Amino acid sequence: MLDRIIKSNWWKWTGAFLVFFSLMVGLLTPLAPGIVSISPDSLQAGDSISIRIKTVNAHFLSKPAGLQGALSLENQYVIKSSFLHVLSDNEIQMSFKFPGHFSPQKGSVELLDLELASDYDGFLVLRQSVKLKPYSGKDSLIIHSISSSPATNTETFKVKSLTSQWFSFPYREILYESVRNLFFHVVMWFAMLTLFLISVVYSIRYLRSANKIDDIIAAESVQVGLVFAAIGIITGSIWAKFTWGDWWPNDPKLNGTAIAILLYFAYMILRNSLSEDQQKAKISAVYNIFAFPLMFVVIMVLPRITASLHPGNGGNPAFSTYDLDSHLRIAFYPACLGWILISLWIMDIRIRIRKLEEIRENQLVESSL
Amino acid sequence: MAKNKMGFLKESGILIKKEFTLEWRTKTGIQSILLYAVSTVFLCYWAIHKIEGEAWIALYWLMAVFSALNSVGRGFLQESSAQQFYYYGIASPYAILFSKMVFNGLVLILVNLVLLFFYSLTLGFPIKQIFPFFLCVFLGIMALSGAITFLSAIASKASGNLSLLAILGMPVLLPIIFLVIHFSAGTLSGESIGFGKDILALCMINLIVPSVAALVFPYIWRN
Repeated sequence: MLDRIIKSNWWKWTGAFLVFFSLMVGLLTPLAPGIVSISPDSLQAGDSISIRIKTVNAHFLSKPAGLQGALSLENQYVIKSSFLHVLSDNEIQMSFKFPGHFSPQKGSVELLDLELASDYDGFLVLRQSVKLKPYSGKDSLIIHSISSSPATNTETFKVKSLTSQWFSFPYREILYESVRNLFFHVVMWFAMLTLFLISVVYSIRYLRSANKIDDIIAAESVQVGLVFAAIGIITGSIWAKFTWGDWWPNDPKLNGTAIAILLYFAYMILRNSLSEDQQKAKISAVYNIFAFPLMFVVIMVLPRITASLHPGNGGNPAFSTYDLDSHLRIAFYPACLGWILISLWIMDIRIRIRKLEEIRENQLVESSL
Repeated sequence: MAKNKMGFLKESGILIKKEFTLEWRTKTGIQSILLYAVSTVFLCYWAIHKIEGEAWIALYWLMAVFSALNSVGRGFLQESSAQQFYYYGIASPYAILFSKMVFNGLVLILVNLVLLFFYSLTLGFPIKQIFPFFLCVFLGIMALSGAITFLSAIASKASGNLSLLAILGMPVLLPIIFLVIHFSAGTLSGESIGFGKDILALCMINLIVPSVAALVFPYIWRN
């Protein structure tokens, strides 16, 4: 049954198609609109101010229906813009008349969120981007601190939908376009884990059967898995440079992965250091079975103990809770399955090469006799 | 078949006793490792003179790991094949593996107590929370001894020298070292932060390593 599936071609085509699909969707889908920059970024309570906002991928000029802007503090106090002037699709001038009694305490500064929304583009926010300085007018206005008095002239900010109406990937301030790397970084680790899992299964099978083919499959899946680990590290490193500012930030998830890869390098070294075939197969199978749960501990358990930058670790929420929106999923799940199938295809080719080499070796031995 | 009647624990107990008797007769193993540990401490003292906090902990675990690699590493390597053949004839693989792990763990704990004594004498003792620290030392040493014992079994079957053990050992030991350093760095400060996760993770390693080792050891022990 399994043999027939492996020999058939449909799963290879499925893999290729899924990877192609995820590449297309992953690279061609535009990013959702987002706020890039604002100026000026600070204001004083009691002032009137005009803020110029630059966005990306928005359609404020061509589809202005329902366009509104506001400054808000922790989603509790909202001040709507008094005047809104659209300069282009991605540039807006907003004016605010800021009430003087809506002021932080003297000497302190509050950080306001800048919010924009339209029916077509959905809800855009740049969090904690506008500094609000305390009121300093001459008239003896009674100043309530923000925390103690509810703002009077605020209106709730009504938005038709939170996300844009068109098919797009979510916009995040640190990620920007690099959110697409999800399909090239995360999936590599899934492919690697699948291959290592196959490897440990075949190592167990080898110990039971002593069949040489099982050993070849175990070894080759580790080798291909290491290639995918290398790709995962490279894509991750580029992503880390872009989002966290460092090629190799001191993150337990990264270090754990590095240890896991070293574990499997040691497996390859162990294989190469042994010359006798059966001994090599047996001892490396034993080591492989030993390494697999350790790799699991290193990748899955250790990063959860200490603080980590990765989602799902060190108290960070996992991707599924809020980061991975439904549009990303459309490309992410096919990418996972597709790359896993491709990795199995590569492994299959390598195993066939190894089998042919075995046959040729046997023929050479026979002909020399 | 006498060995079938004997329980696993009894068998292991006899084997552990055998290890201690053998060690007691010559004492070379423990003496050499004590010499190694103490001279490393003095080397550090001459080189550094003053050390604090995290560096103290890192240095301590480095010394602990390398003395463990040196002493436990010989666990399977030092026995002659005739000796091994004899033990394998009379005992179960689980008892052999388990007794080696426990014996090595106990020896290492003794060595580490001596090492810690000299280390604190020369370079101070910055640990504020004594009990969690020694719990960490105990769990960490047991995990190290378990992993190295099993790896030395693999290395002895493969080539019979220590260099392969160093190659196989470091990646396997890194997570354990990471855990113990993280754990013991927490004991530096006086205020009690929860060690639950660290203890849990170390206990997990202490369970996983021997059980996986026991699963696969019967396949290589007679080679």
